[in-house]
Amino acid sequence: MPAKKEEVKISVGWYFIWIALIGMLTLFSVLMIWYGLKKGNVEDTNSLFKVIAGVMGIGIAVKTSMDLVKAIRGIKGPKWRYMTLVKCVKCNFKSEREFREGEYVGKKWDKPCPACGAPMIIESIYAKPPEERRSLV
Amino acid sequence: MVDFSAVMSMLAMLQQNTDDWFSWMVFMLFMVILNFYAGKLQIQVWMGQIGRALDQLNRFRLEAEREFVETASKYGKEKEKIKKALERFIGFFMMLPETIDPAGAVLKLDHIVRNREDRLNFFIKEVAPKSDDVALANLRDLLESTIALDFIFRVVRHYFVLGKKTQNMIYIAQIQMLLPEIMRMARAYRMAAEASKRGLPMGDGIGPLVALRLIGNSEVIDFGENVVGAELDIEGRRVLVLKAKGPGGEIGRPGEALKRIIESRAGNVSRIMMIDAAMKLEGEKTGEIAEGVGAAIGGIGVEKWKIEEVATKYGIPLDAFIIKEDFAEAVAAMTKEIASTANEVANRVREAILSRTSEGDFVIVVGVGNSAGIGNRLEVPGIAS
Ligand SMILES: [Zn+2]
Repeated sequence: MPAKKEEVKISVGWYFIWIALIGMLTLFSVLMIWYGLKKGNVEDTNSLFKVIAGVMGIGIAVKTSMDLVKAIRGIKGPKWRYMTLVKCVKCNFKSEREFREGEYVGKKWDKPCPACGAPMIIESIYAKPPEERRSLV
Repeated sequence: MVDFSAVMSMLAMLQQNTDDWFSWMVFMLFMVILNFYAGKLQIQVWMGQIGRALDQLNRFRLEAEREFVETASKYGKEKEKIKKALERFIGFFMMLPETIDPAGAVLKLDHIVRNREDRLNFFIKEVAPKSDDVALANLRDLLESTIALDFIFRVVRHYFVLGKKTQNMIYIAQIQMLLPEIMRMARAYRMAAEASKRGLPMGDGIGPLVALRLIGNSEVIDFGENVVGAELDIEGRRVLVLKAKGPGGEIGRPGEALKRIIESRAGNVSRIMMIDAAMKLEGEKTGEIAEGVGAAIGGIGVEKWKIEEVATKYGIPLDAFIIKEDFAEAVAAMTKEIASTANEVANRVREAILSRTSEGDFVIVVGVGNSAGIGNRLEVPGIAS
């Protein structure tokens, strides 16, 4: 689809601009703090203002990059895993495996129970949510 | 909007260092400009948000379209032809019947809904001529998600372009404020497309899943209207359990089937029990089970109306069992917490049958919902259900 390629290009450009802006802001903020804390003019109110502006700038940069990460993750989408639970009809042996197309609940499993040799059926099919990532963002 | 006291303090500061009056003038000029252009700035921020959402909606739409084409191409037609056909079909719509004269509106609606389904089936047969019943039903569900995603994209784009043209805050604010809800729906349809593509059970399939748990490995009968069922004996009660025909993504017409069955028994049915997924309120736990009365069936209302009609005609009590889910959970692949409620609900239905009916009674249990990925019976002989 030619239209699709175009769309992706536009959004890649957009994210590039975004990252560039964050970089510029961070650089500017660091410079501000550095000038503000430079020896000789620490007493000055003007330098205090510079430090405050720099800290605020870094704060905004952090917030924006968090938004960016969120946006990118939103596009990729969380990866769900689809599982098939097979159960032995006699001994309650259960086994969970990756879902494959063509399987449905109630279908006879093609292999017998490894524990007792009785037939097995698909007991249920469900989606497992992606592992929660415990990080700052 | 500049605070008066702030102005006073500024003036006081101005007097303190008069040599810097120029920067203060610039500062105040800036404040004034900001006051005039705050609205414009706000519009730009909102338009940016809508634009990004639109970008994502477009991606969803194109992905779903591509998945449809890829899946359909397994059944005997080239991708190019399918893509062309889909492009022409994607704007497919259904006009609701006029209700100025409400008499007979449900029958008209029923007629149009059947029309719609026939057309969708016809389209799938056209682009995937070698598909069997199961593949056809799943492709149809995938097509419906694709159509929904396309429609959402069109609506948001409409407001985006309108906002850009008019720079009118009302248009832009309307869509910006609805954006979180719109994106939630779009994400749900995107996940629904994924589930339909693979033939996975969806959250809405909990009704048929409970029915399957009750049916066990009993022989099933086809009642037409894409409804199957099995007659069980539960401690002397004759229990007919109905579900949509699986394992393709069918909902069937349980209302129509129920009506025919009850009419054929001349109303000799002592209870109807219905199991369905129902919309949860935020804060409620997913998979919470609730019991009540009435016809537990969603959709456009035709099937519900039929069930209520026939139940009222013969005075048959209606019991409802619902499993709480939100919209996204209902259309996306069934999660473990929903699937794991099936046994509990089946037990509750059994208990209800035992306590509310007596021996020799005829009871109908309907597992309402989409039967994708859920078979009609356990395909293994010789196990107790
Ligand atoms: Zn076993």
